[in-house]
Amino acid sequence: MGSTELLAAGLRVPAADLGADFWADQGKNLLFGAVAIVAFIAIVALIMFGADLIKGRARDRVQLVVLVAPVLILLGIGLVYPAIDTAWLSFNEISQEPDPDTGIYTTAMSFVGLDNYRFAFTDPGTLRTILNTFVWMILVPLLSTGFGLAYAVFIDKAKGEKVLKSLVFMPMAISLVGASVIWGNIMYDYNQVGEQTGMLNALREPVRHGPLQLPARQPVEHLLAHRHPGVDSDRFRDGDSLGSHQGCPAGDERGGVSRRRQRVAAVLEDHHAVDPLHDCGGPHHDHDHGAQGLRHCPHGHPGP
Amino acid sequence: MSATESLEPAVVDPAPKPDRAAKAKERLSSPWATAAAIIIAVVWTIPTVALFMTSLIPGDRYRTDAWWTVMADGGLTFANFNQVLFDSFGDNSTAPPLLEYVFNSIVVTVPAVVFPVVLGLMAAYAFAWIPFKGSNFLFVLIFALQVVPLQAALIPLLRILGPENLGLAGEFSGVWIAHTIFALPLSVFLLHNFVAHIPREVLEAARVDGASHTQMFFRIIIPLSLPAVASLAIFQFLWVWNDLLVSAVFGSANTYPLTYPISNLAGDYGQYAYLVPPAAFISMIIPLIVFFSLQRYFVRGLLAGSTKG
Repeated sequence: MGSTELLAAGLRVPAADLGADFWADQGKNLLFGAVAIVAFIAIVALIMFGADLIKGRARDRVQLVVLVAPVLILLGIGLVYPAIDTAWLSFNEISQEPDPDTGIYTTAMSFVGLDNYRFAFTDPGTLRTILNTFVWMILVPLLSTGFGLAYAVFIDKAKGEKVLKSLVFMPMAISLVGASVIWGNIMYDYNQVGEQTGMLNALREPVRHGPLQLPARQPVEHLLAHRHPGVDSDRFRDGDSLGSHQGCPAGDERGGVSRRRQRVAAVLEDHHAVDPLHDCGGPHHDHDHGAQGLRHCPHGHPGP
Repeated sequence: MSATESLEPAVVDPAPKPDRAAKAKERLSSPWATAAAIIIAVVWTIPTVALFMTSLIPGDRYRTDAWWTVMADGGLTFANFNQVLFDSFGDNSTAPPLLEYVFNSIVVTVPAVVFPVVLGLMAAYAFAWIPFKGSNFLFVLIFALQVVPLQAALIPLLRILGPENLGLAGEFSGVWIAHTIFALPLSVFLLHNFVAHIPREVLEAARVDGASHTQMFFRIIIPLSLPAVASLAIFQFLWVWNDLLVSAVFGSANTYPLTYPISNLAGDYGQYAYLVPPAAFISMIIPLIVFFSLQRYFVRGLLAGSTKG
């Protein structure tokens, strides 16, 4: 009996767990999709052959309309009108205010001219995203074109071109969500104690001790802090320069840590024991204190 | 550098053809270039392999051990895949299994590929071969619409599809319509470039024989443009399957595709974080199969917009 039970457990058909409801729902959805495709093609064919029955000179014109109209209507509704509407909305303010007579909250839209733009170009957060966009816009095409060109030259002279090419194209099939799992959870991952499970930190560990919080070292912040000294807060330059000038080797890693990252690090400390490196400013949740912490950072490598 | 050098003897010395080709081939394929290309290809592949290996780590070791450690002591297991697909995927044990989202992804993607390709081919034929007033202007306008970021269209389009108007938001049909609209500019543009290079004589002969636009579309345009249709379909398939934004905005809990639950849990340090890698790998399998099996068309599609014929 025991062996048959084991066998049954091994052969457990997972589908059975999901229940009839599950399969009924999914089957209904799949059927709906199939019906939609068939109906769509049938309607298109019917209309086009219907337009073919027309006699005389009108036929060509009607068929032209049939061919072009769906795209024009859909784009008009789905892209042209929205683009105009969004542009119009950007000059307006939508507010919820109580009606003076009834006291009921109503949504009111009022024209405010360029106010929203004034806000966007003065708000530090928004300004930052605009600058980030520009930096990425310049960096990413440069890097990817550079790598691409180099690879094209190599591959041109290499044997097994097809296989190599498809391996390099492969990431195109991977979603950004998948890529973020790969890089966030696996490549860039860092542990403050124990074995490094992130691949990059694991590769780095034999060379240099102490994990690197890679996503925290934002190249944009570094670029901006150096190229546009006035752009962002001084916390950045503070952390960076102090770290390197005062001989705290961890400084260049810690200094670049943004405020948000520090909060994340603070949360993580609940799960992991505090890393000796963190004496360099990590536990201070506010960055201003963080920079102070750097000043008191002991010289020499706080390493293993 | 050696590419330009190797061209010179080919021009100067008019040696017999097969010999010259073999020589050129020999000079071109240098072992160093092969090595460099292999290294880059391997580096490009490591992250994907790492994801697969990480998804095999048992849950209780996910936090502390890296995949190579687990592999060394033989602890890798496929149990995570079983749990994620059939049992539950999410931040609690009662979350729905990923299989439900796999089906949603299929139901969202396939129609969202067929609709824009069919409509785009119709318009492409009209713009390429039917002279009418404003044809050029409209084509350039459609081409220019590729510039409109779809984020700018989200809110107004959601209002149109929303409960106050069409009431399709949150249904599969709403997601299909949104995907179709956002795909149309590229679809019309790519297919137009291909359709425009069908030999004029073929279409003129049919026209002289009295074929109408409908007949030409079904008898000539569709069969001749199948390669372009295939490559566009692959592009669109990958785009829709991997999309998160459009589905999140226009869909609902009944229609969310694979990317949605995974993105909710990605980067999470919760108890169920070890389920994210297997889920991400599952979400990649189908596009990878599509990519590797239809690669020929994919490369052709990359070139479709840039070269003639």
